[in-house]
Amino acid sequence: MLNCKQVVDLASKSLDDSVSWQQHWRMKLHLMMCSNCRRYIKQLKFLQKVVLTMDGQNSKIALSAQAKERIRNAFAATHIAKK
Amino acid sequence: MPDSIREQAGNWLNDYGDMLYRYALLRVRSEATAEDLVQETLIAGFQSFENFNGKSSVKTWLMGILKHKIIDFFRKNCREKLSLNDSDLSEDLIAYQFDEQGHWKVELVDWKTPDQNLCDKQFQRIFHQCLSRLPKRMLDLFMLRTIEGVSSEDCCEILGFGSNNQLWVALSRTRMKLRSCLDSQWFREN
Repeated sequence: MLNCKQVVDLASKSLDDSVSWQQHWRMKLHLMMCSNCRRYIKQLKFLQKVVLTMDGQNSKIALSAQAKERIRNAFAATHIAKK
Repeated sequence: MPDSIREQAGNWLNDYGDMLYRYALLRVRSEATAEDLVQETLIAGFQSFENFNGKSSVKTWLMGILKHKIIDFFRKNCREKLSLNDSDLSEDLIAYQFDEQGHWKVELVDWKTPDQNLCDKQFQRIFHQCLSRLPKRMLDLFMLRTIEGVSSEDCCEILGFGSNNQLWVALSRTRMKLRSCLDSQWFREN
C-alpha cells in the first residue's frame, strides 16, 4: 500500500511522464480512500495549468532603451561584417 | 545577401525584441542574460537567414533559435554535477506535512474555483513571487522540463542530475513548495 508521500511524488511524475500501470492502479486505490491526496492532486493539476498558460507575454516588460541600443549596435557590426 | 533581407532584419529588434526578451526573462530570470540571449538570437538569425525556408513565420523561426540559446545557457551554467541538498528536497516542508509513516499531518484547504484566478493580475504576481522563492536549480529544472518541455533525459544531462529518479523527486518537491506557497499567499487570503 502506498503512503501519501509516495502518492504525492507519483502524482507529480505522472504529470510529466508516464507511470507504469501497476503504479497507476496503486495510486488509484489510494486515492479512493484518501481525500487529502485527491485534493492535493487537483491542486497540482491546477498549478500545471497555470504554468502552461504562462508565456510571460501578458506583461509590459520590455527591453530597456539602453539594451536596445546595445543590441542594435552589435547587430549593425554583424551587418557590416557580412557585407 | 540582398539588401531587402538586411533591411528586414534591421526591424527584427523592433518587431520581436520585446517578445523574445519576455520569453527569455521568464526562463532565465536575469535581465542581463535575457538581453544577451535576444542579441545572440537576432545575430544568429541574421547569419543563418539563408536556412530560413519560409515555412514558418520569422517570429516562430526566431523563437526556435532563442529556445536553443536558452538550453545552451543552462547547459553552460550547470557544468558541475549537482547533489540535491535538504533545501532542494524541501525536507522541512515534508516534515511539516507528513508524519513518519508518510501520511498527511495537515488537512489541505479546498481551493474554490481556482480557474477564476488564471487571468487575475494579482494572482499572477503572487504566482511569480512563489516561483522566485524556489531554490534556483529547482526552478531551472521546472522551467526546462515543465515549461520548456525538454525531455527528462536531456534535463538530467543539462542540469547534471544523476538519475531520472532524482529528477522526479526534485520536480515533485518543487511543485510541493509552489503549492504550499500559493496556498498560504493566495488561497487562504482570498
